[in-house]
Amino acid sequence: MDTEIWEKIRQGDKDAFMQLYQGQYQQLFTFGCRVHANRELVKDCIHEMFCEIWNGRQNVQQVSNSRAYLFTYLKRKILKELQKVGSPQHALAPEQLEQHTHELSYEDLLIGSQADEEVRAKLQKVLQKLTKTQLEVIRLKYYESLSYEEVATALQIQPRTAYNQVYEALKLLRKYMRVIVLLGVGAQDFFQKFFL
Amino acid sequence: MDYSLYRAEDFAADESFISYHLGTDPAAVAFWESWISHHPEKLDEILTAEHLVDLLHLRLTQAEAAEERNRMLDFLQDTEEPRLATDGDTRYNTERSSRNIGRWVSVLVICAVLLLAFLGIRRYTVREKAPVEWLSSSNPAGKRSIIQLSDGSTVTLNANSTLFYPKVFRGDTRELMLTGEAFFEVAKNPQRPFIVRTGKLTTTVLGTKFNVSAASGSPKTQVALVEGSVKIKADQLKGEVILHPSQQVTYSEKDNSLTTSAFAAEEVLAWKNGTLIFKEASFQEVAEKLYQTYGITLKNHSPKQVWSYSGKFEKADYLTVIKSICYAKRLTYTVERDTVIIR
Repeated sequence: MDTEIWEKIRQGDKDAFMQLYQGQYQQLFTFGCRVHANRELVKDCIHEMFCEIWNGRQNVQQVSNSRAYLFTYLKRKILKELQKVGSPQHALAPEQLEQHTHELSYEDLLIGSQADEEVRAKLQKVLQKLTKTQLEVIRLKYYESLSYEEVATALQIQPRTAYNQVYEALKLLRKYMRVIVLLGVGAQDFFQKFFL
Repeated sequence: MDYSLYRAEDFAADESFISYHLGTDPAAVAFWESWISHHPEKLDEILTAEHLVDLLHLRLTQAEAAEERNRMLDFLQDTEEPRLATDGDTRYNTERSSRNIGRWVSVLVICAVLLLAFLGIRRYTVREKAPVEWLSSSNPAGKRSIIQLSDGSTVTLNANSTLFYPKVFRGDTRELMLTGEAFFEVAKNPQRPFIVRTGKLTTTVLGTKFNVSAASGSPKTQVALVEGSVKIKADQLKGEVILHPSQQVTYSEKDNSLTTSAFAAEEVLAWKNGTLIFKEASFQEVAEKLYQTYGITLKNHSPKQVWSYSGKFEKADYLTVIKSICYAKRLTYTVERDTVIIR
């Protein structure tokens, strides 16, 4: 099936190309953030990668596993980009960079993946209010995509406890979210006032 | 489980909701799509929940993902040859403008008919020495109105519709002219038949409730009967059709034929109560209904060109409707004056 879609792309089928893009985007983004937790940089790299693929579609070799192909492509691209930036903290060899990334905690990843400085500061504050267990539970539940059963087994707690921990963490996070959501609602009221 | 009591944090912690949002379980996707379409009031909680899940999963939010997708589409658009640059939007616009031409033509026709009717009535009334004063009531897109007639009958006039009626009914009949759609509640008076003229169709009633839909430019005229009985006559056809309650007749200009069928009162009369009903509607149908009801123009700049949208809204404002549609279709929208662009 993967080879089929690439064959269509080679022939210039835009729908097939967008299908690949849509199907892989979020996973690529998550993966990209693991390589380097910088939302904007990861977004740009994914965009450029797909542009390059489209421009060079005639020369793409046989791809049997889209996911593996794109992940490898993206990782190389991000690492190259970091070397290009050349700031002291970024001027690391690729191997070092990778190590450096693995040391990043889930907390750092969450904060780093936010683009806006203000949002980052707020998120950091909220995350500090979470207990160690809560953080670990949401990491396993969302980042590692485990079921409550699996989270419970991993942490040797009851599934019900795992759920409660997640729920409490979400309730706190929601408060932080409210700021963003309220912004949206405000804008909408504005429109309604003017256009209805 | 009573999901209607759920808040964002409940949804975001729910295993099945997460599977739905990540698209990992088709059964969960089907369940939640249906559930959400039936609970538009929970949309804000749902959106917050999705935002939370996106945040913790290190995913882009839907708005951001849409932005990135558009960036990609722009790139594709820029690299392609111009001959491919057609989209549903331009198609839709041409349709709209041809419909407008049709509308102008029929406005002219109506004016002519009115003039003739005027002259005819004048000649008739000159003899009686009591001129009949004609009034007209016209609704633009997005407006409905209720008109009280001199005999106590009530007409609910839909958007994009015009009714011509005498200030006071005189003579043996009660006659009026309609373009567009209206719901009539006729005061009983067997001595003076109530006659509605629409293009080539004449509907005669004694006392009844019925809906006439004769959109200008549309090749079909429909009369749907709720109560009582009506008699329908097409200009070029011999004989008449008598309708019974819950029946409707469709006049097709193309085949010059009258067809009787049953009708779903809920759907036909929805407009009267400010209810919007979509049944596997295409983008054009959705856009036309929104234009009719709210007077807003809907444009489709999204990659999704084939629509099949079902949903029902009671007295909702247009942003609620658009929000729900966009949600179901995984699209976003921007508002520019009275145009809403789906992206």
